Order: sequence, then C-alpha cells, then structure tokens
Amino acid sequence: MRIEAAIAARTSFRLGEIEVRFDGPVAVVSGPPGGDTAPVEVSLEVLREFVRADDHGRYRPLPGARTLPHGWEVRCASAGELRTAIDEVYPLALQHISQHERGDLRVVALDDVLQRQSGRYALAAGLSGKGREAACRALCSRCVRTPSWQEGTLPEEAIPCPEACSVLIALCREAALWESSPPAPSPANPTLPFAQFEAPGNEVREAYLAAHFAAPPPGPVQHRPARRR
Amino acid sequence: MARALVLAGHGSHLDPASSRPVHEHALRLRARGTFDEVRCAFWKEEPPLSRILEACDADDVTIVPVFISNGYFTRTVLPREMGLTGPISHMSGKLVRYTEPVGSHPALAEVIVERALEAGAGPATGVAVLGHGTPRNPESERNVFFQAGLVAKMGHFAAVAAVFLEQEPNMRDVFQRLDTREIVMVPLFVAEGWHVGVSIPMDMAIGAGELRRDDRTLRFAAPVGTHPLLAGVINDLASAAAAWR
Ligand code: SF4
Repeated sequence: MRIEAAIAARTSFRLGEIEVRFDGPVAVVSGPPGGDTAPVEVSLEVLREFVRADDHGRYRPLPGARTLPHGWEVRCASAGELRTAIDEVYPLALQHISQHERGDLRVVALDDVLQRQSGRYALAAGLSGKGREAACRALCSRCVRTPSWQEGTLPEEAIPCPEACSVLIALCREAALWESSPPAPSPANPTLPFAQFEAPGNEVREAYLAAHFAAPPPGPVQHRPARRR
Repeated sequence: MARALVLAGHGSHLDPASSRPVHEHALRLRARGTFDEVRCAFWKEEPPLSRILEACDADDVTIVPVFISNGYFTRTVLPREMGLTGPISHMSGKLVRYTEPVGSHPALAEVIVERALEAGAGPATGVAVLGHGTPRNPESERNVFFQAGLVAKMGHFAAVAAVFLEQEPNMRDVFQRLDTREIVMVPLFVAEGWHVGVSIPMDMAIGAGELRRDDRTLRFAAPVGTHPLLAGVINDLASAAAAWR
C-alpha cells in the first residue's frame, strides 16, 4: 500500500501534482512550486474552493487536470486531515489507489460507460473507435489519473481512473457530432473554459481535432506508458 | 450500524457555483453529527455518483437528491449511475435508501417564505415561485406548483403564483399572473448559477435586483438552494428514510 505506507511511515511522496512532506508532527501538502516566492498557506477548510481555479482563475471541472494553482501549501495536524486534504484535491484517489493495490478496483469499460448514457449524452456512444482513442489522448493526457480501462500496465506511481469521467463523456458526445461534420481547426486558446468543447479554440477540442483529423501531434501523448488493468 | 448520508447533486463543467451549496449543506450536516459520514456526489463533477457508494465506509447509506424536480435526473440518471433498484437497494453488503428530492418536501415552502421575506415581501406582496420547467417533461413542473400551493396556504402574502423559465406560465408574464403592486420572485433553484445569476436577470432586464413597470415593482430573491435552512430539509428527508424497512 504505497501511499498508506508512506503516510504511516511519515515519508515524503508525490501524488499527481501535489507533494506531501512531514515537518515534525505536521504533514505538509503542497501544490506545484510557485518560483522564488514562499508558498501561500491555505487552510484545509478552503482548500477545495482554492483548487477549483487554476493560476489564471479558470474553473477546473476536472480535478485531475494538470492545472493546479502554483505556490501553496496546507498544513495538516493528523493523518486524517492529510487524507481529507488529498481528497479535496483528488476526490476518491486514495480509495482507488488502495482498491487497485488490493486488486478489487471495479473497472468499467469505456464502451459500457458510453452505452449507458441517455438524453443529451446518448450521442456519445456513436463515437468511432478511432474517435474514442483521440478523445482519450486529448483529455486523459492532461489528467494525473491513468485509465485502468485501457489495455496495458498501470505505472507504479499512477492514480488509477476506474471509469471514464463526465468530462470525457461530454468530449465523446461533441466528438461524435464532429465526426459527421468535421469542424475547422482553430488556434488553441488556453483561456477558454476547459470543458467548453463546442468553443473553437478550446485546447482539448483542438488537441482532439489535431489527433483525429490530421497527423498525430508529437510529444508525450504518443508515448504513454503501457497500462495494466 | 454506521450510517452515511450522500447528497447527490448535479454539478457543472462550466460553473463552479453549481455544486457549492451542496458542499455547504454537507458541512452543516456534518456539524449536526446525525450521520457518521456525510458525502457529496455529482453527475457532472467529482466525486461522481457512480463511485460514491463504494467509497462510503458505512453499511447503511441514505441518498438525498439535491434537486428541485422529480424528473429525468432523479428517476433516470441517479438510479442508473448509482445502481439503485428503488427506494431501498441492497448492494455489496450495504443497505441504500433513496429519498425523494428536496423539491418534494413540504418544509421547502418555509425556505421559499424566508427568501421572499429577505427580499422585502410583506402581506401586500405577490410572490412568484420561479421554477425551471421544461415542455419535454411534465413531471418537472409538479414540485413548483406543489411548493407555490403550500406557500399560498401559509397566508403570508397577498397572492402566490408559480412561473417558469422554459415553459408556461412564463416568468415574463409575471405582471399578468399577479396583480399586486409589489412582486417578489423566488427562484426555486439549487444554486446561484448561470440561470439565477445571469440568464434570468438578463431575460427579465432586472437591474440591481429590481424591475419597475409603471407603478409596479418586481424584486428578485436569492435562490432557495443556497439558504442554510435547506440543510434541515435534507436532514428531514434522510431522517424519515431511516425508518424504512
Ligand atoms: S477519464 Fe481521463 S480525464 Fe477523466 S478522470 Fe479518467 S483519466 Fe482523467
């Protein structure tokens, strides 16, 4: 039990974009470093609201997005507070890591998630296999979680994603519409709302369009580690 | 038997205000200490509805939908995502109780009255209870008419009417629905989100919370869902469910 063992032994660890270190009786959770300035101290009570916006004040509907604000820390007086702090930043991540390590993480295939949608999202199931791959590349590569529902081996330090999230479902829905009438690409504009996929310039939309309709983009997205269920 | 309470909300990919009241009510309910665990789960945010039950340590879990209408979300989406089979479900050793949404509870009428009073309503005021509504689902209007009827029976105001954002009777006709000089409109919405904060004031051309027409005024109250009293409504629903066998 990697994280639980580290908490019990009070040894530092990283999880996604956060780092946990122990300072005497206190556990310190810190966000990505903010340069030369000392980190801002954030209380556990306001942490959830604090991490809901990125450095530019843009709403983060996907808690796993690699857009945590920089330069902050939370001081936790107990292991319970530390778990709460981690859960505020990455909801259910600790449970999913433990379940994965025990071998009882309930994993749901992407197709099952898409097939069960109704109403506005029923369209998502119509996305082709190639479209689904491009959607995962465009979105999941921006997330600290690693899909357990894809083939391959989960890296040791991964936060498993047991089931496609609502943001991916929303992207698959838009992408299914794009397959019938492909939109023209636009320059990516990282100030647009993260999940407003219908907006030309949305960074995830443009990454998808580049992956699906043009030559695949270069970079780490192409070389994700192999995953295991 | 340890007991958990799950507040099931809608959440949003675009509006951080959407889930805020649900988290705030969870804090209030944790402070009451009635339940060993109080958690939130959302359709469009994390933690997701589909994974929350297995995250609960308790083996007796009560889910209260923090929704106004009993319609598509409470009858289709929540049961499907959470694997519920009815008001009581048995899942992996857990007893799961699924209540009606907050919008069905008669105590919500008191929250509507509070919001109207805060906005300055008095005995001569007409109160318009504003629901979302949709012509696609006749169920979605039911709780709005129900709550407006309860508020009318309480007799605090000169008149009470139900009006809607997306169906008839439409909110734009509120001056025809109520003949009082002063009208207060109370949004029967969970959050101070896009509708309450932007689209309704824009559609109604309400500047600074007030609209004047000849010698008549319409004021806009805060939504019921953000009122601290809503935590009590959630608690009532959950407590009643505790007796289900
Ligand atoms: S589906 Fe993709 S983006 Fe969503 S939580 Fe899982 S890994 Fe992250």
